[in-house]
Formats: sequence, C-alpha cells, structure tokens
Amino acid sequence: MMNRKDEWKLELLDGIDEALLERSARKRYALMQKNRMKRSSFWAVCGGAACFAAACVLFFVLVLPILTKVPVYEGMTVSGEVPFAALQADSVATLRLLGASDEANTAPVNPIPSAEKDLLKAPAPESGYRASYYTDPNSDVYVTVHLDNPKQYEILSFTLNGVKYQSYMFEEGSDSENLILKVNVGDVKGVVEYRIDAIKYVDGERIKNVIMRGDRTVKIGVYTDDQPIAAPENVTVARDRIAFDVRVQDELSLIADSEGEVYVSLTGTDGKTFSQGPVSLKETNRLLFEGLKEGEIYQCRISARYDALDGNGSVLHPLYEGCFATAGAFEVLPAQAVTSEEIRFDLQMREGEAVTLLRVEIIRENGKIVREQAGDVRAFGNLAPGRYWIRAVYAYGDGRLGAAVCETPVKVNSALRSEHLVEQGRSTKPFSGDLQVWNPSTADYRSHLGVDITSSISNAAVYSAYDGTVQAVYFDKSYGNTVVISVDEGDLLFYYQSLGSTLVKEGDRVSGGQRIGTIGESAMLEVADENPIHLHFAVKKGEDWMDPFSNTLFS
Amino acid sequence: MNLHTGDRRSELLTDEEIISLYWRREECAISATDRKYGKYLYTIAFNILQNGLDCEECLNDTYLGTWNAIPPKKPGVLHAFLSGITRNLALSRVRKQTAAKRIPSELVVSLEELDECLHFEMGEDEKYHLHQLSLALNEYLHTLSDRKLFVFVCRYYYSDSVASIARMLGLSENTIFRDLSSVRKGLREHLQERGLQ
Repeated sequence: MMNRKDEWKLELLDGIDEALLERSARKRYALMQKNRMKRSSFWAVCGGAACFAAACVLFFVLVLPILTKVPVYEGMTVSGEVPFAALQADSVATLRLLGASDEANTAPVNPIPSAEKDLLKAPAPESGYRASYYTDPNSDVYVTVHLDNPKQYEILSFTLNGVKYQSYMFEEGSDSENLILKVNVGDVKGVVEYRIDAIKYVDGERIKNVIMRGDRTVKIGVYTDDQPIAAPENVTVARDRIAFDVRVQDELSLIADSEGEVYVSLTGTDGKTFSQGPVSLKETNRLLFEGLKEGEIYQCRISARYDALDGNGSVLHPLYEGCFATAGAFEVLPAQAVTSEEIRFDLQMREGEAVTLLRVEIIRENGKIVREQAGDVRAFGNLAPGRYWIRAVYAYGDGRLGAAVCETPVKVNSALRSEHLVEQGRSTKPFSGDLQVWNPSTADYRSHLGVDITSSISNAAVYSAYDGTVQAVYFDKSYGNTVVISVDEGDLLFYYQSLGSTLVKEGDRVSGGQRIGTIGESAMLEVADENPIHLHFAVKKGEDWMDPFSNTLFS
Repeated sequence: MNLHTGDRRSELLTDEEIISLYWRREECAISATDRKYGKYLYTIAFNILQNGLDCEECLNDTYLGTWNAIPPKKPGVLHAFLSGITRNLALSRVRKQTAAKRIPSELVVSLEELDECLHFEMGEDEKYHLHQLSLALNEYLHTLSDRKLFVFVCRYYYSDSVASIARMLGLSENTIFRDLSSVRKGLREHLQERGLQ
C-alpha cells in the first residue's frame, strides 16, 4: 500500500499545470513514435540481411547446381521388376511389391469388431507403414537411384549400405538419370534399410561427387511367419470372474516397433464386453475380469494393431480367439456321444446349492442358442456338425436366475445333411465321384462333383456348414454366384454355388449355421436341371473333390 | 472523408476524427483510440503497474472512462487527456494493492527522489501547505528549459525510467541523471526561498 507521503507527492504532481503537461506529453508521444519507427527499421534491416544470407545459401545449394547442371541425387525407389517406366523421361515408377495400394494407406484390411473399436484408443502411426515397400524373404528387388543429370555426365559408381557398385553392375535399362541395381534382401526378417552414401561421376578427367539432395534411405519390409502370438494360460474360473495369464510372444518386436498395443477382451453372449489393456509386451500379465455373469460363455479375444510387414500397413490382428465359461451351481459333464449327431451329458449339483433346474440350452460356439428344452434334460440329438456349449439354466430359492456351462464345448462329428445347408433343404442330385451322369443342361455325361440341394421355400436361405473364413466371392461362368469358405480345421474348401444372392464378402468370418446367401439358378451348367433353383454344394480337399455328405470329411 | 473506421481499418485517424466519433457516440471510437494510442498508453500503465494483465485492464478502463467523459469534454491534445486517465487509473490500482504486495519499483524510486526537495507536513495545515507547494512547483517548472521540463515530467509524472528517458532523447543516462539532479536542486532552492522547505 502507498503511504501518506507518497499520496501527498502524487497529489502534488497531479497539480502540475495542464499546459506544462501537454507540452511534455506532445513531445513524449512524438519521441516514442519516432523511436518505435527506428526500431522497426532496425529489425527491417536485420530481416533484410537475414533474407539476403538465406538467398545466398539457396543460390549455392539450389540455383548454382542448375546453372552449372551438375548431377543431383533426388531419391530412390524400389520395385519387384525392372522398372521400365523409369526409362521414360518424364515419369518415375514407384512400384509397391505386396498388396499395398493407394487405398491401403487409409483403409484397414481386417474389419474391426465393435468391441475393439472402443479398445484401441491409441491412434495408429501417421502412415501406418513401417516401410515403403514390402516383399518376401530371399526375394530380388530392383533399387532405382534417381538423378537429375541434364548434361548426362557418366555415372561411375554408387555406394549402397557400404558396398560400392560400379557402373557395369547396373541393370539393363539404366541410364544417366536412373541407375537400376538388383539386390536380394536375404533371409532376413523385419525391416531392411538401404542407404546410399555416395555417387561418383566423371567430369572431363576428374571424378566428382553427385550433389545429394533427396532422401538417402529406403526401407523394405520383409514378411515373416514369425508373427506375434499370445494365449491365455493358467486360467481360473469362478462364477463371476475369470483370471488368466497373458504373455505376448513377439520375437521380432513387430508390435513394439509399430508402436502398437495389445488389448484383451471378453464378450458375453449378451454382447457385453469387458476389456483390459494395453498389456505389457515384455512381462507376463495376470488379468482378472470381474463382474461377470454366472454360467455365461465369453469369447476371449487378444488383439493388437501393428504392421505385420505384409504390405497392409498397421492394421488390427487377432492374436488369439477362444471361449471361456464362468462356473455355476451345476457341474455340466458331457458324456461320450452315442451317435455322432447326439450330445449326452450329466448335471451334478455342487455341494451346498439349492436350485431348481429350469431348462437346458445347446449353444453354438458363436453364442447362438440352437436348441433349448425345459426341465431336466440329459441329451440332445439331430445336431448338425460343429462345437456346442451345454448350458443349464436354474433358479435360486430367492428367485434369482443362474446358469452353468460345460467347461469346454462339445464336438459333434455328424455328417452334413441338406437341412444343415439350405432352409428346409432336400437333396436332388448327389455327388457322383468318378461316375459320369447325365447333365440335361449340357446334354452330355459328366461327373457331378457336388450335391444339389433345393427347397420348397423360394429364395431359401443357404447356411455355412462350419465355422470358417470367406476366401472368395465371385461369379463362376459354369456354376454362377459362388462363395468359397475355408474351415478352421482341416485342409478343406467349401463351395456354395448357383446362389441367387450372397450375403458375405471376402475376408469375413462366418459361423456354422450362419446365413451366407440364398438358393438361385445362376449355374449355367445346371440351368436346365429338373430343379434349376438350388444350391450346388461342393467340397475340395487339396486338389480332390469330396462327397460333402461323407462323415469322414475331417478324417 | 468517411469517418466510419470500417472503411479505413488499416489507417490511423486524426485526433479530431477520433473525438468526433466519441461525440457521435460511434463505438468504433474506442477501437480507433486503441489502434492509435494503445501502445503508448500501455507504456504509461506499465511504468506504474509493472504487470501486463493489470495494464490491459487499465487500458480497458481508460477507454471506458474516455467514452464517459467525451462528451461533454473535448480534449485539445487527445493523448495527453488519455494518458492522464491511464495514469490515474494505474495509480488507483496500485493503491488497492494489499500490504503484502510490493508497489512497482520505478514509481517508488521516482517518488523517493523527490524527498530531497519536498518537505511533507502533516497536521491541520496539510492542505494549505500542499496548495502553496503546488503553486511554487508550477512557478518553478515554468522557468525550466523544454528538455529539463520534459525530463522532470517523464520521470515524476509518468514514472519513466532513466534509461527510457535517455532513449527517447537520444542522450546518455548520465546526462539524464544530471538533469534530474539539477532540477531537484533548483526546486529545493526555489522552495527554500519561498519558505516552504
């Protein structure tokens, strides 16, 4: 605070004549403006000097080389073949080797399941690619060194990764502005970097260095089968929790080098997801998922986004997919199937529990309930081939509902039947194998290497026989609209043909029993058959066509 | 000439044009004032407040005070009028600062310098003494040369630092120190002759 003395002095100064103040104020303002302009001029002069200096540097670096036309290195590109486009004066070929296209820079190849969309909050690296080009191990690639060399000085050599390459080692098609070198990436895994150190040219009798202006390194991603894996271990299950260890094995640090993260999720049949992450990439992570539902089946998924060096950039990769079930009041004990189409099981009450059994459900591995029956049931028959959970639903004394599930899904190895593949399907033409049968559409005898299944329902649904991955969706000129699905076990491909419509696309994961299309009459080879609207269903093992309804398909 | 500054955003208006805007109650008068004198008034406020935020607020209050004062006032020298408002507002802010805060140093130092030539008298005759001193001070300041008057006003009215005054006049700081010392000596002698010291 100001004291009275200061206040007194200020009051005295406030009493100075206005005329005197105005006189000084005018001069003060004018002098301050003058000094401000002087400072602006000073900085303008400094700025001018800096600009002049920068202009001199630019002249010697950029303009002088152009005026004197000395060769200038502009960059390197890589291709899988000799880049003929490089021979054209006004174009430079930049060929990617594997998969990566312009679209691949922005769109992930694998669709992201909805659970992971919330999980992976960390953004992918700016470009998503750790390398500019991708190839397989031990493959030859062509490195093209691009120069601006208008006076066409003779290029003597260049040094790449410390190795000197003389002009006679350049590939055919090289010229004074495009030096093509064939190199083998070697039996390496990961990202290989090529760095150009020096380029020599001849000017009269003297050997000189090319001016290096472009990016001196180029990275090539070499694909490896040693992809990261992770699996739950030491799983413990209770009624409301599941705990397990997760250890990420990533020998080549593909995830870490892509700045990726690993997330673990459990998704119940009700769609509720519990997720944890990112987990440590170096240590064993003990994960505990709490607040789970009793007797619920949880799909466990361990995922990471990283560049697998396959040319697709940084995309989501599932490292593990499996199922766990929480415990309940019953112990569900599947027994050996009496026939291959039936499940038998026993239900044993755990000690101390007083519950009333309400119903038993048979659930596909994808969580879909395919059958349920009230009361104390101990067997289900007539099941399509696949893997099933058995769940017992009961009520506690206080009215709460609970459930118990078998520890692991039960496998049913029944043979396929028409109704498994087509809605109310019935077979019209069987697999003939080597036997030649009459084909009314082609008016000749030929093998029928699949089964034809029709239905009384128009546009009847076509179902996938097993869990698998859609390998292709296309129009076959003989068999029409075609969906090809590979299964998770066995070297088998399933062809669903003569379809009217398709509901899946390449890369989709499908479950056994999932709708993939409708029956149709798109097969030209069978269009004049007695039942032209049908599904033509064929199974290929390696190069051989199999009877799809054989019960030894997977043996 | 169009007085709507919307048409002349990049140009500074004359004092008459700005005062005319105030009289016509056109709000662009304030932005025109700020464009022309904002930096100048900022330095006056900063000499006293030594704090950027306080100075900004002080400037805003200056413009509000000017808007309220014109009309009916019609200042002859606009920047002198504005600088008086800014200075008073800055000093008011300083007065409100708590005891725990230091008051800005340049103001303190400059006021302390006046101790050697001004005699503070408390008591019932305080106001009378102040009035007499004020008359004597003005009488003395009228005898000063332009430069010495300028140095005195800048140092003790505007609390400009010695370095700042030296820069303005293009002189050395020693010269300014000598001018100030000479003016204070002259004022002391003048007040002694009047029996006020």
